[in-house]
Amino acid sequence: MNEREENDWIERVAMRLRGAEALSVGFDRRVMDAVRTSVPPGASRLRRAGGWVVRRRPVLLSPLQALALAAGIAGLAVLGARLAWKTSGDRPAFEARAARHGLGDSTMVQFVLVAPTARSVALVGDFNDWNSQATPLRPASSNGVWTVSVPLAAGRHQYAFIVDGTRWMADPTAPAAVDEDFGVPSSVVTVVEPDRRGDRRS
Amino acid sequence: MQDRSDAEIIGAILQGDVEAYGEIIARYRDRYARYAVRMLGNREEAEEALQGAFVRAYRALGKCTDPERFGAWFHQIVVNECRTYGRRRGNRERRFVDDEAAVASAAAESPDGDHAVRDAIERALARLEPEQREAFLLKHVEDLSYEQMAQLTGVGVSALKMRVKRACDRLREMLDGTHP
Repeated sequence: MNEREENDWIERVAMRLRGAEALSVGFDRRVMDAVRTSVPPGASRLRRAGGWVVRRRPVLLSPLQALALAAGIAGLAVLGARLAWKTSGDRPAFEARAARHGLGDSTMVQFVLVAPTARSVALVGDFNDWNSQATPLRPASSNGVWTVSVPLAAGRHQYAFIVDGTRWMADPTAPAAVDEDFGVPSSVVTVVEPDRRGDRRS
Repeated sequence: MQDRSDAEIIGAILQGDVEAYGEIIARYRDRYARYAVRMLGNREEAEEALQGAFVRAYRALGKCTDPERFGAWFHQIVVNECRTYGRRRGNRERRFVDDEAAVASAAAESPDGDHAVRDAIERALARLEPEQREAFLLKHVEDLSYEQMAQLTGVGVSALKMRVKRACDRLREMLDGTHP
C-alpha cells in the first residue's frame, strides 16, 4: 500500500469506530446518587473563608465528656480497646491500644461521635475506601451517642464521619489530618502494637 | 430559556447546589461514551469508568481553575479513569479470542458482512497495547490534534506519533484481508 492508500484504509477503519454509543437508562441517576454522598466540592473554600457555613450543626460535647459518656454506657463493649489520652501541644491525641483478640494483625478500635440531632452517621476512612455505605454507626443511647468498632491494622489511619448522608466532618476528639485529597477535613488515629507485657482488660 | 454556561453551573455547585451537577452530567456523558466504550471494549465497563470520572470531577470541582474549560479538564479525567480502569482490569478477562488467525478469519467468513468487519476491527483494537489503542482512538476516532492529545495524556507529541504509527501497523497486520 502506498501512503495515501494506507491513510484511506485507516480512515475507513476509524469510520467504523465513530458510531455513537448510548449509555444505559439510569446512568445519570447513578452518578448523582454517588455524587450526593460525596464531600461538597466547595467545602475547602468555605473553610478557608474562616469557618464552616452550616445550616444545622450536631451538638458536640468536649472530648472527655464524650468519652465518659461512651464508657459509662451499660452494655457498650469496648472489645478490649483501652483508649489512652495524652496531649501533644494543645490538642488531645487519640491512640488506641488493644490486646489482640484473635484478630490476627488487626486491633478493634471504637469510634464515637456525639450527635443528638443526626439521623444517620457513617464512618469513612482509608480502611473502607471512604465508602459511606460500608460502616454505619449505631446509636448507643438516647443521648445522641453514636458508635461503631472496626478492626484496624497497626499504623496510621485517616478517617472522618458523614452525618445524615451529606455532611462530612472530622472527629472533634481526634487530631486533624493535614488536608490531602480535595481539601476535606479528616482525622487521624494511630493504632499501636499491643503492649508486650500483655495488658489485661481493665 | 438560555442554557447556563459550564462556569455558571459550576459556580452554583460550589455555592451548595449539588443537584446542578446533573446538568453537567447530561451535557457531557454522551461526548465521552464512545471513547470509553472503544477504549475498554464494552459498555458496562465504560459506564463504570465514566461514572468514576464524573464522581472524581465532582469532588475535585474546587480545583477546576478555569470553569470555562471544564470540558477539556473533564476529558483528561475521563482518559485517566479509562487508563486506571483498564490497568485494574488487567489481563484477568480476555474479552476476545487471543488468536490472530481467528481475528482475520472472522472477517473472511463473510467478507461482505458489515457485522463481521466491525467485529474484526473491534477485536483487533482490543488486542492493541493500551497506550497504542488510546493514541489511535484519540487521533483517528476522536479526531484530536497531537497538541491536544499531548495536553490530555501528558505524553509528548513525538511519542504519541510513534504510538499511533505502531497502532496502525499492528491493525493492518491483524486485519490483513479485511476490507473496512
